[in-house]
Amino acid sequence: MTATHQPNLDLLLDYAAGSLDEGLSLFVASHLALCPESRRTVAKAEAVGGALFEDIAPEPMDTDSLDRLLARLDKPAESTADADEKIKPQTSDTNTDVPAPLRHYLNSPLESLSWRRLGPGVQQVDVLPPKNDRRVSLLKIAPGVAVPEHGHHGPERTLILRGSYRDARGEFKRGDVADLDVSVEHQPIAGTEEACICLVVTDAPVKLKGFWGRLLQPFIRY
Amino acid sequence: MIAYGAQTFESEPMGWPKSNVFRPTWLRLMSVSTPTLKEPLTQPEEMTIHLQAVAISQDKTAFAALFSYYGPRLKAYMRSLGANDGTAEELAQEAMLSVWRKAHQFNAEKASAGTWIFTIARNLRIDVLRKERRPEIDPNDPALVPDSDPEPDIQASMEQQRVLLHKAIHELPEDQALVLKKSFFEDKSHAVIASELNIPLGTVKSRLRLAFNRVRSHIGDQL
Repeated sequence: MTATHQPNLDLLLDYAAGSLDEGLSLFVASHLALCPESRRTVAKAEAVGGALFEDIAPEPMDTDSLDRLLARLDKPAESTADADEKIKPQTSDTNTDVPAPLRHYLNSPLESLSWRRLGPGVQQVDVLPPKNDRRVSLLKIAPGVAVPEHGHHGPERTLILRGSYRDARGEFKRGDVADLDVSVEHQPIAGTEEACICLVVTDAPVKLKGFWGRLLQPFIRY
Repeated sequence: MIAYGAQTFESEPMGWPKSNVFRPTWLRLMSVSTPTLKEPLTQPEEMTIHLQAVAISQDKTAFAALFSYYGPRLKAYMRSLGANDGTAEELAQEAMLSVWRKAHQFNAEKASAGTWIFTIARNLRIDVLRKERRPEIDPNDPALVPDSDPEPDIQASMEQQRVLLHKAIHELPEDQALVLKKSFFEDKSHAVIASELNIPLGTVKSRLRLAFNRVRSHIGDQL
Protein backbone atom coordinates (compact mmCIF):
# COMPACT_ATOMS: atom_id res chain seq x y z
CA MET A 1 0.00 0.00 0.00
CA THR A 2 1.47 3.31 -1.05
CA ALA A 3 0.22 6.82 -0.83
CA THR A 4 -1.50 8.17 -3.93
CA HIS A 5 -1.87 11.79 -2.86
CA GLN A 6 1.52 13.47 -2.48
CA PRO A 7 2.20 16.94 -1.08
CA ASN A 8 2.99 19.84 -3.37
CA LEU A 9 6.47 19.60 -4.84
CA ASP A 10 7.42 22.89 -3.10
CA LEU A 11 7.06 21.27 0.28
CA LEU A 12 9.38 18.37 -0.62
CA LEU A 13 11.94 20.72 -2.18
CA ASP A 14 11.93 22.95 0.88
CA TYR A 15 12.37 19.92 3.12
CA ALA A 16 15.43 18.88 1.08
CA ALA A 17 16.80 22.43 1.16
CA GLY A 18 16.28 22.62 4.92
CA SER A 19 14.09 25.70 4.87
CA LEU A 20 10.99 24.28 6.55
CA ASP A 21 10.33 24.91 10.24
CA GLU A 22 10.17 22.07 12.74
CA GLY A 23 6.41 21.52 12.43
CA LEU A 24 6.41 21.19 8.66
CA SER A 25 9.61 19.12 8.71
CA LEU A 26 7.87 16.77 11.12
CA PHE A 27 4.90 16.63 8.76
CA VAL A 28 7.03 15.88 5.68
CA ALA A 29 9.24 13.33 7.45
CA SER A 30 6.14 11.47 8.70
CA HIS A 31 4.76 11.38 5.17
CA LEU A 32 8.11 10.21 3.78
CA ALA A 33 8.08 7.21 6.10
CA LEU A 34 4.82 6.15 4.44
CA CYS A 35 5.56 7.12 0.84
CA PRO A 36 8.51 5.68 -1.13
CA GLU A 37 7.69 7.88 -4.13
CA SER A 38 8.12 11.09 -2.14
CA ARG A 39 11.32 9.64 -0.64
CA ARG A 40 12.72 9.29 -4.15
CA THR A 41 11.75 12.88 -4.95
CA VAL A 42 13.50 14.15 -1.83
CA ALA A 43 16.61 12.07 -2.64
CA LYS A 44 16.75 13.75 -6.05
CA ALA A 45 16.27 17.18 -4.54
CA GLU A 46 19.11 16.44 -2.12
CA ALA A 47 21.30 15.42 -5.07
CA VAL A 48 20.50 18.82 -6.62
CA GLY A 49 21.52 20.43 -3.33
CA GLY A 50 24.72 18.36 -3.38
CA ALA A 51 25.54 19.47 -6.92
CA LEU A 52 24.98 23.13 -6.04
CA PHE A 53 27.12 22.63 -2.94
CA GLU A 54 30.01 21.17 -5.00
CA ASP A 55 29.79 24.26 -7.21
CA ILE A 56 29.84 26.87 -4.47
CA ALA A 57 32.77 29.32 -4.50
CA PRO A 58 35.04 28.05 -1.65
CA GLU A 59 35.95 30.35 1.25
CA PRO A 60 39.49 29.84 2.62
CA MET A 61 39.64 28.34 6.10
CA ASP A 62 41.99 29.39 8.91
CA THR A 63 45.53 28.09 8.41
CA ASP A 64 45.47 25.98 11.59
CA SER A 65 41.95 24.73 10.92
CA LEU A 66 42.84 21.20 9.88
CA ASP A 67 45.32 20.72 12.75
CA ARG A 68 42.75 21.85 15.30
CA LEU A 69 40.24 19.43 13.91
CA LEU A 70 42.67 16.51 13.64
CA ALA A 71 43.38 16.98 17.35
CA ARG A 72 39.68 16.45 18.07
CA LEU A 73 39.17 13.34 15.96
CA ASP A 74 40.17 10.79 18.55
CA LYS A 75 38.23 12.30 21.39
CA PRO A 76 34.97 10.51 22.10
CA ALA A 77 31.81 12.23 20.88
CA GLU A 78 30.27 14.52 23.46
CA SER A 79 26.65 15.30 24.05
CA THR A 80 26.11 16.50 20.49
CA ALA A 81 26.22 12.98 19.15
CA ASP A 82 23.75 11.91 21.80
CA ALA A 83 21.29 14.66 20.95
CA ASP A 84 19.20 12.10 19.10
CA GLU A 85 18.92 10.04 22.26
CA LYS A 86 17.01 12.78 24.02
CA ILE A 87 14.14 12.58 21.61
CA LYS A 88 13.90 8.81 21.61
CA PRO A 89 10.33 7.74 22.12
CA GLN A 90 9.27 6.88 25.61
CA THR A 91 6.71 4.69 23.95
CA SER A 92 8.93 2.48 21.83
CA ASP A 93 6.62 -0.53 22.13
CA THR A 94 3.44 1.35 21.39
CA ASN A 95 2.31 3.41 18.43
CA THR A 96 4.26 1.12 16.14
CA ASP A 97 2.03 2.17 13.24
CA VAL A 98 2.87 5.84 13.86
CA PRO A 99 5.82 6.95 11.69
CA ALA A 100 8.98 7.32 13.81
CA PRO A 101 9.44 11.07 13.24
CA LEU A 102 6.03 11.71 14.81
CA ARG A 103 6.29 8.92 17.39
CA HIS A 104 9.23 10.76 18.93
CA TYR A 105 6.92 13.65 19.78
CA LEU A 106 4.24 11.56 21.50
CA ASN A 107 4.60 10.57 25.14
CA SER A 108 1.81 8.02 25.27
CA PRO A 109 -0.16 5.69 23.00
CA LEU A 110 -2.43 7.48 20.51
CA GLU A 111 -5.53 6.30 22.38
CA SER A 112 -4.50 7.86 25.69
CA LEU A 113 -3.28 11.27 24.49
CA SER A 114 -5.15 14.19 26.06
CA TRP A 115 -7.68 14.54 23.27
CA ARG A 116 -9.85 17.63 23.41
CA ARG A 117 -13.38 17.51 22.03
CA LEU A 118 -13.90 19.97 19.19
CA GLY A 119 -17.39 19.00 18.17
CA PRO A 120 -19.53 15.95 17.57
CA GLY A 121 -17.16 13.08 16.80
CA VAL A 122 -14.14 15.33 16.32
CA GLN A 123 -11.21 15.50 18.76
CA GLN A 124 -7.87 17.28 18.65
CA VAL A 125 -4.53 17.25 20.47
CA ASP A 126 -1.54 19.52 19.90
CA VAL A 127 1.73 17.87 18.90
CA LEU A 128 3.82 21.04 19.25
CA PRO A 129 2.92 24.11 21.31
CA PRO A 130 1.05 26.55 19.04
CA LYS A 131 3.36 29.33 17.84
CA ASN A 132 2.04 32.48 16.21
CA ASP A 133 -0.64 31.10 13.92
CA ARG A 134 1.18 27.81 13.26
CA ARG A 135 -0.59 24.81 14.68
CA VAL A 136 0.64 21.20 14.52
CA SER A 137 -1.97 18.82 15.86
CA LEU A 138 -3.55 15.44 15.58
CA LEU A 139 -7.20 15.26 14.60
CA LYS A 140 -9.42 12.27 15.31
CA ILE A 141 -12.67 11.94 13.40
CA ALA A 142 -15.07 9.20 14.52
CA PRO A 143 -16.09 6.65 11.85
CA GLY A 144 -18.53 8.12 9.32
CA VAL A 145 -18.49 11.59 10.89
CA ALA A 146 -18.36 14.68 8.69
CA VAL A 147 -16.12 17.53 9.75
CA PRO A 148 -17.96 20.85 9.35
CA GLU A 149 -17.37 22.34 5.92
CA HIS A 150 -14.58 24.85 6.17
CA GLY A 151 -12.18 27.03 4.23
CA HIS A 152 -8.78 28.31 5.25
CA HIS A 153 -7.17 31.63 6.00
CA GLY A 154 -3.85 29.96 5.23
CA PRO A 155 -2.61 26.62 3.92
CA GLU A 156 -3.79 23.42 5.62
CA ARG A 157 -1.82 20.21 5.21
CA THR A 158 -3.28 16.91 6.36
CA LEU A 159 -1.51 13.54 6.54
CA ILE A 160 -3.70 10.48 7.10
CA LEU A 161 -2.24 8.13 9.73
CA ARG A 162 -5.14 5.77 10.42
CA GLY A 163 -8.45 5.16 8.70
CA SER A 164 -9.46 7.28 5.75
CA TYR A 165 -11.59 10.20 4.71
CA ARG A 166 -13.32 11.34 1.58
CA ASP A 167 -14.08 14.78 0.24
CA ALA A 168 -14.79 16.25 -3.19
CA ARG A 169 -11.17 15.56 -4.17
CA GLY A 170 -11.37 11.83 -3.60
CA GLU A 171 -10.47 9.29 -0.95
CA PHE A 172 -7.47 9.83 1.32
CA LYS A 173 -5.83 6.87 3.03
CA ARG A 174 -2.85 6.21 5.27
CA GLY A 175 0.19 8.06 3.95
CA ASP A 176 -1.84 10.39 1.73
CA VAL A 177 -1.46 14.13 2.02
CA ALA A 178 -4.10 16.77 1.36
CA ASP A 179 -2.21 19.98 0.70
CA LEU A 180 -4.87 22.69 0.58
CA ASP A 181 -4.31 26.35 -0.01
CA VAL A 182 -6.40 29.34 0.98
CA SER A 183 -8.93 29.05 -1.81
CA VAL A 184 -10.13 25.52 -1.06
CA GLU A 185 -13.21 24.72 0.98
CA HIS A 186 -13.91 21.15 1.85
CA GLN A 187 -15.96 18.87 4.03
CA PRO A 188 -14.11 15.67 4.82
CA ILE A 189 -16.13 12.63 5.87
CA ALA A 190 -14.31 9.89 7.76
CA GLY A 191 -14.46 6.33 6.46
CA THR A 192 -16.84 4.04 8.33
CA GLU A 193 -14.37 1.23 9.16
CA GLU A 194 -12.46 3.03 11.93
CA ALA A 195 -11.73 6.48 13.32
CA CYS A 196 -9.64 8.61 11.02
CA ILE A 197 -6.53 10.04 12.69
CA CYS A 198 -4.53 12.68 10.85
CA LEU A 199 -1.62 15.01 11.43
CA VAL A 200 -2.69 18.53 10.53
CA VAL A 201 -0.48 21.61 10.07
CA THR A 202 -2.20 24.96 9.64
CA ASP A 203 -0.79 28.47 9.33
CA ALA A 204 -3.95 30.34 10.25
CA PRO A 205 -7.32 29.63 11.86
CA VAL A 206 -9.81 27.78 9.66
CA LYS A 207 -13.03 29.39 8.50
CA LEU A 208 -15.98 27.25 9.47
CA LYS A 209 -19.21 27.28 7.50
CA GLY A 210 -22.79 26.22 8.15
CA PHE A 211 -24.74 25.95 11.38
CA TRP A 212 -22.29 23.80 13.33
CA GLY A 213 -19.44 25.82 12.01
CA ARG A 214 -20.84 29.15 13.13
CA LEU A 215 -21.70 27.63 16.47
CA LEU A 216 -18.22 26.19 16.95
CA GLN A 217 -16.10 28.95 15.40
CA PRO A 218 -15.62 30.97 18.62
CA PHE A 219 -14.19 27.90 20.38
CA ILE A 220 -12.11 26.31 17.68
CA ARG A 221 -8.69 26.92 16.30
CA TYR A 222 -7.53 23.99 14.28
CA MET B 1 39.15 20.07 -15.39
CA ILE B 2 35.54 19.66 -16.30
CA ALA B 3 35.07 16.49 -18.28
CA TYR B 4 31.39 16.01 -18.91
CA GLY B 5 31.07 12.57 -20.39
CA ALA B 6 34.54 12.85 -21.89
CA GLN B 7 35.06 9.93 -24.20
CA THR B 8 38.54 10.84 -25.36
CA PHE B 9 40.38 7.87 -23.90
CA GLU B 10 37.58 5.38 -24.24
CA SER B 11 38.14 4.82 -27.96
CA GLU B 12 40.61 2.31 -29.29
CA PRO B 13 44.23 3.37 -28.91
CA MET B 14 46.51 4.06 -31.85
CA GLY B 15 43.78 3.93 -34.45
CA TRP B 16 43.64 0.14 -34.72
CA PRO B 17 40.49 -1.15 -36.39
CA LYS B 18 37.67 -2.15 -34.02
CA SER B 19 37.46 -5.76 -35.04
CA ASN B 20 39.72 -8.23 -33.28
CA VAL B 21 40.35 -10.03 -36.56
CA PHE B 22 42.72 -7.38 -37.78
CA ARG B 23 44.56 -6.82 -34.54
CA PRO B 24 47.83 -8.52 -33.73
CA THR B 25 47.75 -10.96 -30.86
CA TRP B 26 49.97 -8.86 -28.62
CA LEU B 27 47.47 -6.01 -28.76
CA ARG B 28 44.53 -8.29 -28.07
CA LEU B 29 46.37 -9.73 -25.10
CA MET B 30 47.29 -6.29 -23.90
CA SER B 31 43.74 -5.10 -24.06
CA VAL B 32 42.69 -8.08 -21.96
CA SER B 33 45.44 -7.94 -19.42
CA THR B 34 45.48 -4.17 -18.84
CA PRO B 35 42.43 -2.25 -17.75
CA THR B 36 40.89 -0.01 -20.37
CA LEU B 37 42.36 3.44 -20.37
CA LYS B 38 39.90 5.83 -18.77
CA GLU B 39 39.84 9.51 -18.09
CA PRO B 40 41.36 10.40 -14.73
CA LEU B 41 38.96 10.41 -11.79
CA THR B 42 37.09 13.64 -11.26
CA GLN B 43 37.66 15.38 -7.96
CA PRO B 44 34.20 14.47 -6.61
CA GLU B 45 34.87 10.84 -7.53
CA GLU B 46 38.15 10.95 -5.62
CA MET B 47 36.29 12.41 -2.66
CA THR B 48 33.86 9.52 -2.63
CA ILE B 49 36.84 7.13 -2.47
CA HIS B 50 38.41 9.16 0.35
CA LEU B 51 35.13 9.10 2.26
CA GLN B 52 34.95 5.33 1.93
CA ALA B 53 38.54 5.10 3.22
CA VAL B 54 37.53 7.14 6.27
CA ALA B 55 34.53 4.86 6.78
CA ILE B 56 36.46 1.61 6.47
CA SER B 57 39.81 2.37 8.11
CA GLN B 58 39.58 5.79 9.80
CA ASP B 59 42.16 6.96 7.29
CA LYS B 60 43.33 10.40 8.43
CA THR B 61 45.18 11.19 5.21
CA ALA B 62 41.95 10.61 3.29
CA PHE B 63 40.14 12.75 5.85
CA ALA B 64 42.64 15.59 5.35
CA ALA B 65 41.94 15.42 1.60
CA LEU B 66 38.20 15.61 2.26
CA PHE B 67 38.80 18.53 4.59
CA SER B 68 40.82 20.53 2.10
CA TYR B 69 38.15 20.07 -0.57
CA TYR B 70 34.93 20.32 1.42
CA GLY B 71 35.99 22.52 4.36
CA PRO B 72 36.10 25.73 2.29
CA ARG B 73 32.80 24.77 0.61
CA LEU B 74 31.17 24.15 3.98
CA LYS B 75 32.41 27.51 5.17
CA ALA B 76 31.01 29.20 2.06
CA TYR B 77 27.67 27.42 2.57
CA MET B 78 27.43 28.62 6.17
CA ARG B 79 28.38 32.16 5.13
CA SER B 80 25.65 32.17 2.50
CA LEU B 81 23.17 31.24 5.23
CA GLY B 82 24.14 34.31 7.22
CA ALA B 83 26.85 33.03 9.59
CA ASN B 84 29.76 35.43 10.19
CA ASP B 85 33.31 34.38 9.38
CA GLY B 86 34.09 32.94 12.82
CA THR B 87 30.82 31.02 13.12
CA ALA B 88 31.10 29.72 9.56
CA GLU B 89 34.62 28.46 10.35
CA GLU B 90 33.40 26.67 13.49
CA LEU B 91 30.39 25.17 11.71
CA ALA B 92 32.56 23.94 8.85
CA GLN B 93 34.77 22.23 11.47
CA GLU B 94 31.74 20.74 13.23
CA ALA B 95 30.37 19.46 9.92
CA MET B 96 33.72 17.80 9.11
CA LEU B 97 33.77 16.26 12.59
CA SER B 98 30.34 14.76 11.85
CA VAL B 99 31.71 13.48 8.55
CA TRP B 100 34.47 11.70 10.51
CA ARG B 101 32.06 10.23 13.04
CA LYS B 102 29.25 9.27 10.68
CA ALA B 103 31.34 8.10 7.73
CA HIS B 104 30.21 4.50 8.36
CA GLN B 105 26.66 5.59 7.44
CA PHE B 106 27.74 6.74 3.98
CA ASN B 107 26.46 4.57 1.15
CA ALA B 108 28.11 5.33 -2.20
CA GLU B 109 25.27 3.61 -4.04
CA LYS B 110 22.74 6.06 -2.68
CA ALA B 111 24.51 9.40 -2.83
CA SER B 112 27.71 11.09 -3.91
CA ALA B 113 30.09 12.31 -1.21
CA GLY B 114 29.05 15.88 -2.02
CA THR B 115 25.35 15.17 -1.56
CA TRP B 116 25.93 13.29 1.68
CA ILE B 117 28.08 16.07 3.13
CA PHE B 118 25.53 18.66 1.99
CA THR B 119 22.82 16.88 4.04
CA ILE B 120 25.10 16.82 7.10
CA ALA B 121 25.78 20.56 6.75
CA ARG B 122 22.10 21.30 6.24
CA ASN B 123 21.08 19.42 9.38
CA LEU B 124 23.87 21.01 11.40
CA ARG B 125 22.87 24.54 10.50
CA ILE B 126 19.21 23.86 11.33
CA ASP B 127 20.37 22.57 14.69
CA VAL B 128 22.85 25.36 15.45
CA LEU B 129 21.74 28.44 13.51
CA ARG B 130 18.02 27.88 13.94
CA LYS B 131 18.09 25.89 17.17
CA GLU B 132 15.38 23.60 15.88
CA ARG B 133 15.05 19.89 15.47
CA ARG B 134 14.85 18.41 12.05
CA PRO B 135 12.70 15.29 12.07
CA GLU B 136 13.92 12.65 9.63
CA ILE B 137 12.87 9.17 8.66
CA ASP B 138 14.38 6.26 10.53
CA PRO B 139 15.39 3.41 8.20
CA ASN B 140 14.61 0.90 10.97
CA ASP B 141 11.16 2.30 11.68
CA PRO B 142 8.61 -0.57 11.83
CA ALA B 143 6.04 1.83 10.33
CA LEU B 144 8.23 2.60 7.31
CA VAL B 145 6.58 1.57 4.04
CA PRO B 146 9.36 -0.14 2.04
CA ASP B 147 10.02 0.77 -1.57
CA SER B 148 8.30 -1.92 -3.60
CA ASP B 149 9.46 -0.74 -7.01
CA PRO B 150 12.09 -3.09 -8.43
CA GLU B 151 15.53 -1.61 -9.01
CA PRO B 152 16.04 -0.64 -12.64
CA ASP B 153 18.05 -3.27 -14.54
CA ILE B 154 20.56 -0.91 -15.98
CA GLN B 155 21.47 1.66 -13.42
CA ALA B 156 23.70 4.52 -14.41
CA SER B 157 26.60 4.79 -12.00
CA MET B 158 26.40 7.41 -9.28
CA GLU B 159 29.18 9.26 -11.08
CA GLN B 160 27.31 9.28 -14.39
CA GLN B 161 24.25 10.61 -12.61
CA ARG B 162 26.30 13.25 -10.86
CA VAL B 163 27.76 14.41 -14.17
CA LEU B 164 24.30 14.53 -15.80
CA LEU B 165 22.91 16.45 -12.87
CA HIS B 166 25.71 18.97 -13.02
CA LYS B 167 25.22 19.49 -16.70
CA ALA B 168 21.45 19.90 -16.29
CA ILE B 169 21.92 22.53 -13.58
CA HIS B 170 24.40 24.46 -15.71
CA GLU B 171 21.97 24.47 -18.60
CA LEU B 172 19.09 25.92 -16.58
CA PRO B 173 17.81 29.35 -17.62
CA GLU B 174 19.35 31.96 -15.37
CA ASP B 175 16.12 32.96 -13.62
CA GLN B 176 15.39 29.34 -12.66
CA ALA B 177 18.93 28.67 -11.50
CA LEU B 178 18.75 31.75 -9.30
CA VAL B 179 15.63 30.71 -7.35
CA LEU B 180 17.03 27.19 -7.01
CA LYS B 181 20.26 28.51 -5.48
CA LYS B 182 18.46 30.94 -3.24
CA SER B 183 16.15 28.26 -1.91
CA PHE B 184 19.05 25.90 -1.12
CA PHE B 185 21.57 28.41 0.17
CA GLU B 186 19.79 31.33 1.76
CA ASP B 187 17.24 29.84 4.14
CA LYS B 188 14.61 32.22 2.85
CA SER B 189 10.93 31.57 2.42
CA HIS B 190 9.51 31.78 -1.08
CA ALA B 191 7.79 35.01 -0.05
CA VAL B 192 11.11 36.63 0.90
CA ILE B 193 12.74 35.45 -2.32
CA ALA B 194 9.78 36.91 -4.23
CA SER B 195 10.13 40.32 -2.63
CA GLU B 196 13.92 40.34 -3.12
CA LEU B 197 13.59 39.56 -6.80
CA ASN B 198 10.54 41.77 -7.08
CA ILE B 199 8.44 39.05 -8.70
CA PRO B 200 5.13 37.50 -7.60
CA LEU B 201 5.20 34.58 -5.14
CA GLY B 202 3.58 32.30 -7.71
CA THR B 203 6.44 33.00 -10.11
CA VAL B 204 9.02 31.93 -7.51
CA LYS B 205 7.16 28.68 -6.96
CA SER B 206 6.69 27.96 -10.65
CA ARG B 207 10.35 28.72 -11.47
CA LEU B 208 11.44 26.39 -8.68
CA ARG B 209 9.20 23.60 -9.94
CA LEU B 210 10.29 24.13 -13.55
CA ALA B 211 13.95 24.06 -12.54
CA PHE B 212 13.59 20.90 -10.50
CA ASN B 213 11.47 19.07 -13.05
CA ARG B 214 13.88 19.96 -15.82
CA VAL B 215 16.85 18.68 -13.81
CA ARG B 216 14.91 15.60 -12.73
CA SER B 217 14.08 14.72 -16.34
CA HIS B 218 17.81 14.66 -17.10
CA ILE B 219 18.72 12.23 -14.37
CA GLY B 220 15.76 9.93 -14.99
CA ASP B 221 14.19 7.75 -12.37
CA GLN B 222 17.31 6.08 -11.15
CA LEU B 223 18.40 8.07 -8.21
